Amino acid sequence: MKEKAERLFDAITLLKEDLVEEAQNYRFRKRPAVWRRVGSLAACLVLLASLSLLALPRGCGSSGGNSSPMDSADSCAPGEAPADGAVSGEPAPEPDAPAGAPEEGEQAQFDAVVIEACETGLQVEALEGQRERGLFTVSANGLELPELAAGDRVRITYDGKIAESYPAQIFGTAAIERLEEE
Amino acid sequence: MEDRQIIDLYWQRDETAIAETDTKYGGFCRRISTNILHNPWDSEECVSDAYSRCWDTMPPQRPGSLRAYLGTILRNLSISRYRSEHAQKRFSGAETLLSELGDCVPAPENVQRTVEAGELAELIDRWLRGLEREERALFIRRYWNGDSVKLLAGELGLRPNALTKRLLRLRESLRRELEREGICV
Repeated sequence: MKEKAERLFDAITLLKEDLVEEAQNYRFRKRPAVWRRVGSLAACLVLLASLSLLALPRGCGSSGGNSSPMDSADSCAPGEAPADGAVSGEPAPEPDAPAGAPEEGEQAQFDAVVIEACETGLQVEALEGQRERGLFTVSANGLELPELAAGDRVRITYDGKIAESYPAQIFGTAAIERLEEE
Repeated sequence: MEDRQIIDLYWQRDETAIAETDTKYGGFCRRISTNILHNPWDSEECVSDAYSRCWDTMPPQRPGSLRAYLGTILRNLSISRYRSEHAQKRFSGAETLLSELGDCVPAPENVQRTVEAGELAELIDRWLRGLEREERALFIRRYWNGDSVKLLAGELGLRPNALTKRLLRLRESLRRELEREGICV
């Protein structure tokens, strides 16, 4: 058997240069260690769970009360929020702060450029110099949207609440205006 | 220095060719030889002999890849040294490689013909080209370079056991190919 293996060894020695050279230059794609893969999965699950909690309407697990501007407790399903703040078709009435009817003084506004527009909302990126930064998914919140296309500039008025996800989400949209080109 | 420039030095009979070869490929050469012999002194002698062989063969040879050319010479020199001395002394490097390659030898009842090393190399060449690039590189790094399972497992981010199984599957695939071709080693 050993002589035969040695003949194989000799045959392998005679492999063509291009194959040998390719193997010398090849960089293996390193697989993350199992514990790291499991760790990443766990981290993703934790993140997912946190986002799900953030996306729950107020009253579904949160104690209500006054929310900070970054509180998303009265958010709905991303991008599909109906005007009445329902999640999965179940209305979640809020006695003192129904979705889509923000309280006085809580409204915020920022200018953004449209990345993508559809009937249920927009994906936008806040313009420089705004308090809001980065990408946002903005629910139409039952409003009739102006005709918009990617690249258009818009002014978004909302209830001041942003769901901390990526992209960040705004459900309490009060107005979306198309800004004329300067 | 580019391979082509080093080869030009050999052709010009400029002795700096050997120093340039050692600067660029000394580490690679020592690793190839040590992987087979597991003895730094014997490996060093093989590397020196390989440089002499390069000096003697260029010209007329003008290899496309100086690294592959050197590696082939070194494998030949190292296995010759192993063969001439292994009766008295056992080299774990070559022993391990040969024992693994023994898995690829087809069972006698399926064998139809014996082929020369050149023809066998052609067949292995074709089989390798049918593999994924990573599998091909893995086979060559293990059985041409003689790199250890531990080293390759580290590069791949795998446990050595997982890599051993992967190598076993590759050897089984080669054995099936040899059987399919009715090859006797």
